[in-house]
Amino acid sequence: MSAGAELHTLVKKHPIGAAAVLLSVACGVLLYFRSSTITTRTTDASSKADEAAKMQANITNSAGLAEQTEKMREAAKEVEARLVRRSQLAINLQYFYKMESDSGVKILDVRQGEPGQARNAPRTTYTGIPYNVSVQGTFAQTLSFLKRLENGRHFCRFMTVTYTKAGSSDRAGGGDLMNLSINLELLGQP
Amino acid sequence: MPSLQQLLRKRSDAEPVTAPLWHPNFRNYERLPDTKTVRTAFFVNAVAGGIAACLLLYAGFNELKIRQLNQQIAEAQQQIDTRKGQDDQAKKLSQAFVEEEKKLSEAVTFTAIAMPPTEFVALLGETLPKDIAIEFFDMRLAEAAGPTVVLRGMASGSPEQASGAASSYADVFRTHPRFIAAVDKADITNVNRDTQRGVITFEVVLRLKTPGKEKKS
Repeated sequence: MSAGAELHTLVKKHPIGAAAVLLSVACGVLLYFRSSTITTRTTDASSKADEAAKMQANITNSAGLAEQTEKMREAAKEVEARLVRRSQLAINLQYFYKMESDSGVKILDVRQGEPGQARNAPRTTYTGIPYNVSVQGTFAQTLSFLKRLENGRHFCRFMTVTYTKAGSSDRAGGGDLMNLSINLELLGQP
Repeated sequence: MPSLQQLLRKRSDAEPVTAPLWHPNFRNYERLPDTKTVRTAFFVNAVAGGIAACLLLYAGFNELKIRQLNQQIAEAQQQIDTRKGQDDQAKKLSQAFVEEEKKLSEAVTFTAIAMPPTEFVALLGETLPKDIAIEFFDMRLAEAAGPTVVLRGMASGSPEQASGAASSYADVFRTHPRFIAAVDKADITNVNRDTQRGVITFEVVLRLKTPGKEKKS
């Protein structure tokens, strides 16, 4: 008796069992081909849910952000209005001469330098425009000049401040004269 | 125990000699019905059916799970599609906010200083002892080693008193609360007698704290 005939006999003898085996094989094949689907779908569902949650968090957290950004823009505009433009040399030097007349010191020398950028320094929006200023006056006058620089229209960063004695003042009510030498940077745009 | 009669009985009177019983067996077992209490077919069907049912359940459960996951993915995708516009807007705003905030931070960092020169000079004047005068003041705020102030002054009085006053001048920077907040270290580096002027000259070196950097303990 051939194998086919034997199988036929067996199937005929156990039709329910044969059907069950056939069903088992079909289920096995289905499980084999769908084995990775659950993992993939779980990952997909998780990432999509995370993305949706992140988006919701972004939307929730952005409540009032438009107003805050607008305020920040206004503040940044105010900062930019106080910046020095390196190319406007005459206007920049005028800033110091105005302080000279306001404080009563005598400017001996004022020079605008070239802004230096360190090789590995992080990229910044603004840059410091360097100035060397030498003034002469009484202690009160030089202190007034320094205060005006500190609280002036432009943002000022002092690099060095050197006081030395210069001599006696011939001005009315003046004390000993001081020489004040300042290296400073004004925040500006290149 | 056998009786006497039984013992005397002839052997020929005993049971007759018979040939062993036999008959031909023409049964065809393959065609005969299964007469076991529980038929083999039942076990075969039960085992095969059980395995098939388990696999079917498992496969069905898997398919159900895949269907649920597909629904979840579809729902999440729908949420993503719905929120995308608002999210893009929020991201743009956030980016704009960060850029503007960076500009402000740069301006704030640019002017950050442990103690402004005017405050330092004014405080020096306030705390200056009667017998001491400052002749030279040099504030270096961009030094690589940290902001430094060098003071050169002179102390008047008898040499003994003047040298004592000069030596103890550094204590001003260690005891005044505002100086404590700004000055990291105060050292008298040079004390000399100026015989021509009759004073003691000295030099004080102050190391200032760098804003934003705490001293390591």
